[in-house]
Amino acid sequence: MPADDRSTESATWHAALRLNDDAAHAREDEWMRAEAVRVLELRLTQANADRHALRAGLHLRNTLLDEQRVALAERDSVISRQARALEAAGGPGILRRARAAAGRTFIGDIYRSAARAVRRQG
Amino acid sequence: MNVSLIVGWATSAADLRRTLRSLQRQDVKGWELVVPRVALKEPSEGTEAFPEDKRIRYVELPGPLDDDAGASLEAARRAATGTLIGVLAAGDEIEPGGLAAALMLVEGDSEGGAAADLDLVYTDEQWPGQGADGIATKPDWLPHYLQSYPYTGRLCLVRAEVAERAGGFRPGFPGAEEWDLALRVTELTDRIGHVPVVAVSRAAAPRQDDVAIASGLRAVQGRIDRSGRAGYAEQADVPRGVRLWWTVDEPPLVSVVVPTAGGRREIRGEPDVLLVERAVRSLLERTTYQRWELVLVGGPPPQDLIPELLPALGDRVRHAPIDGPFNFSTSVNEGARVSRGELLLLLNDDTEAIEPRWLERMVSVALDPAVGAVGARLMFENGTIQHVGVIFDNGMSPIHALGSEVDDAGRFGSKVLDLDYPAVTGACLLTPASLFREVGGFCVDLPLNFNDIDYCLKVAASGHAVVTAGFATLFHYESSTRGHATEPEEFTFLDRHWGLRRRLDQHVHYRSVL
Repeated sequence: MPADDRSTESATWHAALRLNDDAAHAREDEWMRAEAVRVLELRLTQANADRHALRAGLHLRNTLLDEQRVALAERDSVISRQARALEAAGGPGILRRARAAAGRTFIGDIYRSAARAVRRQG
Repeated sequence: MNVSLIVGWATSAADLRRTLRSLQRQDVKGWELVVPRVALKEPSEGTEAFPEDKRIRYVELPGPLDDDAGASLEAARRAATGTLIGVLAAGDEIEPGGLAAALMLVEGDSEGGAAADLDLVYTDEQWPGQGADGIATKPDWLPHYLQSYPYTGRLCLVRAEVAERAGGFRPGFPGAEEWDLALRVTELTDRIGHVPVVAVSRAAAPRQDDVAIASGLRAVQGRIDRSGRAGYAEQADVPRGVRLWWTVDEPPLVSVVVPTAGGRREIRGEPDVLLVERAVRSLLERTTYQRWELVLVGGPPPQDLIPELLPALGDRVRHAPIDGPFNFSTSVNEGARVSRGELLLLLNDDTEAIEPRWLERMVSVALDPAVGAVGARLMFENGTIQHVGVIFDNGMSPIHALGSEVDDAGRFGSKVLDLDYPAVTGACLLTPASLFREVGGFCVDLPLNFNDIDYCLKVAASGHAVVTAGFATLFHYESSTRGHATEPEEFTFLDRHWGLRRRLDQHVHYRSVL
């Protein structure tokens, strides 16, 4: 190695270091040319893996949201059915009167109030 | 490719079901869940608890499970049929797409990415905790971090054939069974990859009780023993953290190269402090490592600069005068020329030791033949972090990791343990003198900035690791003598020579993957 002998004069030492420095950078250039595609492809794979997991997470959340949407629609339908049944049993305005009686808007309370109103009407 | 996921600890059927459900949600179907039958708290449930999936397999064990899961994990590993094996605790859940993401790195993907042909692949993970406490985003492969901390954690898939060659799981490491195997596997292969995806939600945080900590120490001691070299494992100041000390009978001579112009500044209210005197005094009075010589580069000769320290220094001090315009690289190279040590410590004159064993620690890390440069933890005068390592941001510009953060252990010991970095600052950099010569020292085309970055990248290119020893702590009264400004041509130099290698920066958790 050019700079191995540390007893060398300053100029010789620095010149030898410079040669080694240039050689190190030249080796890196060579490595870069040979490895660039492989390194970048691996980075791409990492990014694709990241994206795949994000997509899968999103897909799961979408599925859960869809299930909740269906459950809500079913619930809406049950409530509408019950409301129609109450209106039929208690006459028009039974739900409005029940709400006023309960003084609150919780749906369970409304139905209980409406049911009591229906019972009172005989 | 099939994956065998092993459960080695006692579990309720409900916990096991949660894990099973998370696997059933995966878009990868080639997996099996291997469970020692005695692991079930209610063994009567047996296979009947999960009639819907034949991919759960039971292993018979002769005795009951205890705290040491090495034997049960090993029995399950031997029964596993997958080409990759991984460990889960019952109740752990694989996140949607997590298994496929891990396998993409092993097998490649259909969208242009390459397969890495890996023997070990690990992912990020999370567990119940406040805020970010339970989120473990991890760096790419850092071999010196793994021998300091079990950071690969879960999900960690190991090629079954390599796990077999490594000797599988072993009893005697309760709470560190996976770490022990990871250490042995990574001694056999460097085909190791990381998928920066939270692929596992653990049911509970990793163990950090005394038993697990003692097991971790034994696991790292095992690495030392297998190496055939002398050393010992010491518990670090962070749960589960370990400091591995390599030792030699004859400690190497360290040449402490200090470029100085005899600068002065105020430090903690004390005006006009001669910086180099403070640095040298901390070497003399606050440093346990004794085999060093001092090489002052530039400035007045020692008898004029630090006359009152000369009696204590004796013949340990040398002077290398410098002519011509200021070029930090030239100063460092000239200091190296007159040095006699096997190791060169490049030290700024505006530093001051805090931890007495700082140099002992850095030398110990440098004794590892795989290591080519060692950095230290440097603190600002106000006690915040100045440097624990250099990383590259999204624009590939060098920045200080964890810069200006408070002085604590950091997440998972990141500020106090040994961590591999792409580069460390030249303000305190230990490197073998032979390697310094081999790669051409500091590049004189970079007279002010980035010469240390360039040096470390050359060290990395030569196949050596660059490691920060977070235990080695010093003050750095940074840039006391010159400004911070970087020139456009310095960035151009990095782009010209290090465009690709900077992209190998392992600290992907600081930036976007691309």
